Amino acid sequence: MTRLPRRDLILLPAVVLATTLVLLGCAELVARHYFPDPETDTCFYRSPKGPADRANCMSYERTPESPQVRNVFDACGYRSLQGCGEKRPGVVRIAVIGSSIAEARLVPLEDSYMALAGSRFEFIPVAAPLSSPAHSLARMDEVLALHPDAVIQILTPVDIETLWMYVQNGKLNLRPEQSIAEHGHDFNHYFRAVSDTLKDSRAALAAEHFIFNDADRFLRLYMMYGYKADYLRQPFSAAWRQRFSELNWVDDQIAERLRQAGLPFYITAFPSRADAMLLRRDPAAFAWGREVAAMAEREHAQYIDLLHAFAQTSDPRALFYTVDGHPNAAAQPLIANALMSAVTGETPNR
Amino acid sequence: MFNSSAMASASIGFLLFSLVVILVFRLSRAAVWRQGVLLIANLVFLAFFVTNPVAWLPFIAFLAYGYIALHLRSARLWPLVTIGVVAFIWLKRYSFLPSWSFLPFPYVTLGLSYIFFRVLHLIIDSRDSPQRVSLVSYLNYTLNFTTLLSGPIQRYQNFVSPPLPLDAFSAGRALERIVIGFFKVNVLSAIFSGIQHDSLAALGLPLTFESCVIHGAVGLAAYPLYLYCNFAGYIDIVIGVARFLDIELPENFNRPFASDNFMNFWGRWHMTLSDWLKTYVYNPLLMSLMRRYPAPSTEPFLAVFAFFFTFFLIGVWHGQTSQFLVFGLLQGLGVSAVKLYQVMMGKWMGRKQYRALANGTVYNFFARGLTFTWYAFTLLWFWSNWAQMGTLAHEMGFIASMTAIGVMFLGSSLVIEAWERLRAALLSVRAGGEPVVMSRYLRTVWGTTLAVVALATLLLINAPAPDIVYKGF
Repeated sequence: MTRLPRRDLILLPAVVLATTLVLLGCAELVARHYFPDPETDTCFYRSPKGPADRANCMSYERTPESPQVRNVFDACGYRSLQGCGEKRPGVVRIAVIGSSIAEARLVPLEDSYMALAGSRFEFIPVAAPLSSPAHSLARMDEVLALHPDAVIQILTPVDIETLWMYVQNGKLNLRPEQSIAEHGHDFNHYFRAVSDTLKDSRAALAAEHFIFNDADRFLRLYMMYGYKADYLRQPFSAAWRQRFSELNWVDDQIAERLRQAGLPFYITAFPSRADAMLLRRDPAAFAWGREVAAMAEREHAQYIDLLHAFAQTSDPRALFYTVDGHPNAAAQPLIANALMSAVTGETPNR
Repeated sequence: MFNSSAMASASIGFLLFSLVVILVFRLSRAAVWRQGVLLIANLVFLAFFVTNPVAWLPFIAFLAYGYIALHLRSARLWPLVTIGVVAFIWLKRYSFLPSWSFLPFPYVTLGLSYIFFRVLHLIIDSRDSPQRVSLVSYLNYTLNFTTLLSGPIQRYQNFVSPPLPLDAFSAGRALERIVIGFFKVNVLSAIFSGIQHDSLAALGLPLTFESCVIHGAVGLAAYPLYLYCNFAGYIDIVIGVARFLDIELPENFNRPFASDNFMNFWGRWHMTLSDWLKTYVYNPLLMSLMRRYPAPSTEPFLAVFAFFFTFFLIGVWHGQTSQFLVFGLLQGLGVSAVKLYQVMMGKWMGRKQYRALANGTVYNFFARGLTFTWYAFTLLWFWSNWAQMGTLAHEMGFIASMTAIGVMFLGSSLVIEAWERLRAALLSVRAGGEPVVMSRYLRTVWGTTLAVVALATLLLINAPAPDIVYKGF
C-alpha cells in the first residue's frame, strides 16, 4: 500500500480520540476505586471573624488519602474531647490557636494529640481550616472565655503565607479581597492553570500520591513553587520578610491580650511536608523556625521547637498525607510529646 | 521556557523548537532554502546553551581545524588525525593530562564527542572521496541539532544523499518514533532511575542478608534498563524529528538485551559508535597487525587484541576519569573474552558443533543473562565513583555482592527469555500477511496510549507540588 486509504483520514484521528477518552476514563474509574470520594466537612462555615465550625455539629470528613474521620464539634464549635464548658477541677486547660493542624483535622479524635495528652489535660483548639493568625487574633475573646491555663499557637508556613490577605498596611481585614494566585506570577502559574484542571481528577491525585513518595522528586517539585516555597530559601525574599513583619504585628497583639490576662503564651513552627523532609538535608529549612522563635522571644512567649523534633524522625514522609499535606495519625504522638514537654515538662502515657 | 534545560531532547521545549524548524523547512523544496533553514536552526540551538562568544572559541577552533584538514588532501593523513585526537583529549580535559595545560576559562564542549567522530570520518574518507564539502554542508553535518548532543553518528554520504520523500506513512512512523521515544525517556527511564535510587538508598539501612541481596541485584540491574530507555528514547525522538527534515538517521539500538554474547551486544547497543570504531580503528588495526604477524595461526588472537583495544577506546571515550579507564578495560575484556572463547570453542568442538550449541535454547537462555549481567556489572564504573563503589562494597559485603550478581544473572535470564517469548508470540499472530500488532490501527492505539501517559506524567512531575490541600473547602 503506498497511499493512505481515505477512510483513515477520519478513522485514525477517531482512534486517537477514542483511545484518549477510554484511557482517561478508565484511569479515573480505577483511581476512584482506590482513592474514594472526598467527604466535605459540613460543619465548616465562614463567620464574620473568619473560618469556623458550627456549634453542636457532627460531620464526616475524608480526603482520598485519609480514612473517614468523624468530627464532633462541641457547644462552642471546637473539635475538643472534653467540650468548652467549665473547666473540670485539677485539669490543665490549654487553648490551641491556629488552623486545621491545631484541630488535628483528618485524624480521628481518639488518635489526635489532644487525646494523647491524657485526661489531666484539655487541649481545646480555637481553630478552623483556612484560619490565619489574623483570625486567631479576631477570636481572642473566645480564647479568653475558655479560661485556659495557657495558650499555644501552631503556625504553619501556609498560615504565614496567606496572612497578607488579611493584614494590609497595618490594618486587619478579614475579608480577603485578592486570591493567593494573584500575589505572584511566574511560568509555573500558567503551568499550574493547566495542571489544576488535570489535578481535579482522582487519577491525577493517585499519580501524585505515588510520585510524591519519592523524596527527591517531591522536594524538587515543591521548590518549583517560587514564592510559596521561598520560606525554605535563604536569604528570605522581600515578600517573606513582609509576611514575617505582618506576623509580628498580629502576634504582638495576641501576646498583649494574653499578657493582660496573665496567661503564658507558647508558639510553635509546624513544618510542611517538604520542610520536614528538608530538615536533615538543608540548614535553610530551619530558618523560618528561627524567625518564629525570635518573634516569640520579643513577645515574651516560649518557642516550642517542633522543627528539631521532626528532624529527629527517621522518615518524616510517613507523618503526612502524601498529596494532601496534613499530618496524619503517625505525627500526633510527636506533636503531643512536644507540646506536653513544653507546657508541663511531662510526656503522655501512650 | 526556552533555555538549555528545555532543549533537552526529550522535553516539550525541544519538540516545539523542532516543530517550528520543520514547518519553516518545509515551506520550500529549494535546496538553498532548506540548507539555510537547517544552518540557522543549528546555530540557534547552540545559542540556547551558551551565549558567551568567548566560551565558543575553542569549539569553533576545533570545527575550523576539521574543515581545513578536510581540504588538505595532499597532506599526510595521520598527523592530521593525531592533531584532532590530541585536541579532543585536551579540550575534554582527560584526567591523565596535567591540569596546568588546560585553558584557564570556561568553554563549550557541547556535542564535541560526536563532532569529533564526524570530523575524523570526513578527514579520513576525504582521501578516497572526490566530493567537495561546502562550508554550509560541513556545518550542517557536524552541528545537526538532531544529533548534536548524543548522536547517532551518521556518515556524511548518508547525510547528503538525496532526501527521501515524506509521505503519510513515513510521517506516521516518524511521529510514532517520537511518541515512543518521549515515553521511554519521560516515563520508563524515570521509573528505572527511581528503582535504582531506592534500592541503593535501602542498602544504607540495616537489612537482612536476603533483602541486601535483592536490593543489590535490583539496583545493579535497574541502571542498564534506565540507560537503555533514556538513550534509546532520545534516539527515537531525534530519528523521528530528523525524518520530518528529510534526513534518515541510522538506527543506534537493535534490541541489545536479546544479545547472546557481549560482542553481539555491542553490535546492537550504540551501533553507530561501534560501527565507526570498527571502520576506523578495528579494521585498520587488525590489517596492520596481520601485515606485521602474517602467520595464519595468530590471526584469531590478533583479532582478540584488536577487539580489546577497540572496545577499550569505546569505554574511555565515555568519560575522562580513571573510572572510565576501568570501564573501557572491562568492555575490552568482555568482547575479547567472547572472541577468544569462540576461537577456542571452535577449535575444541569444531565450528559446526559449536554453532549448534550456541543456537540452543538453554545455551541462549543463560548466554543472554550472562551478557546482561556483565554489562550491568561494567556499568558500575559508569554511574558511580570510587567512593560510592567503596561504600556499596562495604554496605553489602563480598558474599552478598556475589550473591546479588548471581541473582541478577538468573533473574535477567528469566526476564529476557519471557520477554523474547512474549514478543515472538505477539508477532506470530498475523492477519493479511503482517503481524496484527503492526497494523496501523493498533499502533495508533498504542502510540496514543504512550503519548497520553507520557504527557500526563510530564505534567504531573513538572507541576509544583502543593502543600496543604484544602480541597474540601
